[in-house]
Amino acid sequence: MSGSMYDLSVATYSQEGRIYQVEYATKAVENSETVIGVKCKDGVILAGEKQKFSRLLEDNTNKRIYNIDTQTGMAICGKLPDGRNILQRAKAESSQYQDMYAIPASANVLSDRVAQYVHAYTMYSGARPFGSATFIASYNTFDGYELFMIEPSGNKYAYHACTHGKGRAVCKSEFERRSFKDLTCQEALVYIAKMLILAHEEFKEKKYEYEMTWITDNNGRKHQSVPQDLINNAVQQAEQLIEQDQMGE
Amino acid sequence: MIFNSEFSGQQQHTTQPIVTGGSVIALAYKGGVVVGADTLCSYGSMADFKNVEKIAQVSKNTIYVSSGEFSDFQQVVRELAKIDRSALQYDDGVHPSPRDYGNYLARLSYKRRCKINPLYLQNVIAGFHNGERYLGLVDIYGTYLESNFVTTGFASYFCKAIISNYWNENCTLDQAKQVIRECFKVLFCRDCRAHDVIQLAYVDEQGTHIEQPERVETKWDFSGFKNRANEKLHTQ
Repeated sequence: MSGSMYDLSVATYSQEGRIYQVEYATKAVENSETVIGVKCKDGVILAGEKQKFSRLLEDNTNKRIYNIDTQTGMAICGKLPDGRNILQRAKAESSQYQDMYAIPASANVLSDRVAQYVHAYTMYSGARPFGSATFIASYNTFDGYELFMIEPSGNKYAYHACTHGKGRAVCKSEFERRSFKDLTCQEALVYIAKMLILAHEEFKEKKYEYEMTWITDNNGRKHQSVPQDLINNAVQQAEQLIEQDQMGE
Repeated sequence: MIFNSEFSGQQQHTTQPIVTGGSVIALAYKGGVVVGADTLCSYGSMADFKNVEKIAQVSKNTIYVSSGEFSDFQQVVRELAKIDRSALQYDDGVHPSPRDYGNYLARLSYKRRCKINPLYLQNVIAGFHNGERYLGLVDIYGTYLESNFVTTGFASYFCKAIISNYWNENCTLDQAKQVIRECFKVLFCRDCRAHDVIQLAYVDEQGTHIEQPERVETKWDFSGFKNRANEKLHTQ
């Protein structure tokens, strides 16, 4: 996939009609830690793995999933600093929308604004595209639970389940195998933990933290962190499930 | 009060309030703070909007009311909501205290005063934080005062004596509420732009409680009114 002369600037098309810089930005996301978003029977869950790349790191630092509003959350996959720039914009858009229209922005509107912002950085040679994909999960009374993913190209799609990062192939196959639409969020936690653990199979010696947030019927439909004890339980059970699978083989 | 906007050049600024809210009275009691405001918005001397619930909850443990231009009040509520939203977005466990809101409003009011384009309001911020009661008054100039009792508008003239005589800072919630009701009774009789339906709200350790509007007891069945003794005198 050598770009030769057509990959020097994001403002240049290749002869086949590709924009290499945007594809390289997507590659940056694909090489980073996995993030999952999934809609369950009674809510939406956002989850990400965080590798503790150094023993000197404090726990629970380097947050990946943030609040945009009481009922909207955003997860960052890819380069965290780039993602935080997008997040800042999303927060500002959401706040300004609420100021103007007195209701929170629906996920559709918010992700549209974010997608336009991300897309703008793919059109000018003076700036580089964002090296991160962002997931927006939200709930409102008109549209119910919604999940969107915005890619570095500015593409945004609504999903039942989406994933990006190193372990996306593993996660995608797990999504196809299991119907999350029939699981409650509580039940789904185990399988999400399982996906995240499988996603980093090769680098098993490293320590990982798992960041999970959800918006469910049971927690007042607010975007909140999943309680740490539930995450720990889910991880434990997931590890057992993986062992069972391996012994079965 | 009319503000001279000569020095501001081309731009015209609002110089007089159009739709106004009435007095606000807030008292601290043992365990919290209680605020009372009437439910009237006057259009000049016309009692135009009679069911206005003015007590705004800006955060879990802070409430805000003001007297003066009602559209400015609504705008301030929007501005204060931005603070709360911003805290939610940072999500770092730090929540603005009532004093933060009071200070912010004082800065906002002072800035507008300096531009000769004031927020035409006398504001009361009331709350309960970390075991401490909070009552703040911010006036149209941006003056910021914290106190155990706070009054705005006509209540500052008529009600301070009543408050001095019947209230102390360690009274019970019901005693404080009764004092506020007494004050609004007097205001209804003497302030032309007052209304007899008021709303009370209190903030304590458990949080904010905004009550339903209630009508203040007033007495109009004086024999002079009923028998129209005066009228008879003049027509004889």
